[in-house]
Amino acid sequence: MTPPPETSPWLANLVDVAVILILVIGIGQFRTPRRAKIGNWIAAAALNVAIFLVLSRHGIDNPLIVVGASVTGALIGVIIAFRINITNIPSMVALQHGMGGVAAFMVSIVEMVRDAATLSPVAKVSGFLGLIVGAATFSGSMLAALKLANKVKQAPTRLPEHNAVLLNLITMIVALSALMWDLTTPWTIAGLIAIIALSMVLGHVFAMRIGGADMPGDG
Amino acid sequence: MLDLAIMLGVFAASFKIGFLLISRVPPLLHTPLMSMTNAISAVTILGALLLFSKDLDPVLTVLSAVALVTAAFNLVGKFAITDRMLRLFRTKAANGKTS
Repeated sequence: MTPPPETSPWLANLVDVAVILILVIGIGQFRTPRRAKIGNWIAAAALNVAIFLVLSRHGIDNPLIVVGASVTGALIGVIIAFRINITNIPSMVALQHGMGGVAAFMVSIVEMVRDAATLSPVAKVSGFLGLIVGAATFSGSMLAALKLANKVKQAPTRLPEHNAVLLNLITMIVALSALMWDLTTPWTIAGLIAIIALSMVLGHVFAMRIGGADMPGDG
Repeated sequence: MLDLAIMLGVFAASFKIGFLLISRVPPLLHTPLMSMTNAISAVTILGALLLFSKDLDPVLTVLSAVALVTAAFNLVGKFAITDRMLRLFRTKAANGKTS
């Protein structure tokens, strides 16, 4: 893997600021529907430039896998988004968000396993957060998607002592994360997977309570 | 330490900028706004791409590929869906709001 040519750090920072500005301008277009339509694509362009910048600044192993995976995901995303029924849009948004959660905890677990010995404390904390929030986002969004699509009963489910259950789950997850602080042990992978599993339970229990008036549909 | 300080600064500035931007969006556009900002949260794709900048064993390669597929799906899909939502405004306006 050949490292890419060095560019001046000042130029790089300037380019980064420019990309951020483009993004902000894109969001700022959301004042009228017509401008919003353009703003959406401006924001998309900003993110695509960011992707291009990351790719060009870091040598990427396996370019075939990277391109293959990105194109596959993008194609499925665009085809599904344009072919579903209008009434299914809220459910689809929840599904896509859940997929974003998967990406988050996958990135975290790969980094934590691969760089176990060299991660800084800040990086570890953000790694654990990525695992927990990503997994919870995934399961919670999936439940929301099913409820919105009317595949699961739309009425909210409240467990007895629901808040206590949530608090217990969160406590267990935090405690387990603290136990797994040293990422170089033989039981690290099992521990990280357990954190992911518990966080998925958390997301599910959390999302159970939504429903009723905020769910459109004839359920 | 400087790195952490800069990151925290960017984090804090984002709150302020985000608040300023979002508070000016009319209620009519709240739903497409939510969809578009969700699309921006797919910035996770940058993390997924960076996984491939170092060596990976076969298992980690599969996981990283999954991360990239899901992130790409989220990114492209959300912007596409936001576009569909915004198109609904145009048709309503063109047809004189029949619904």
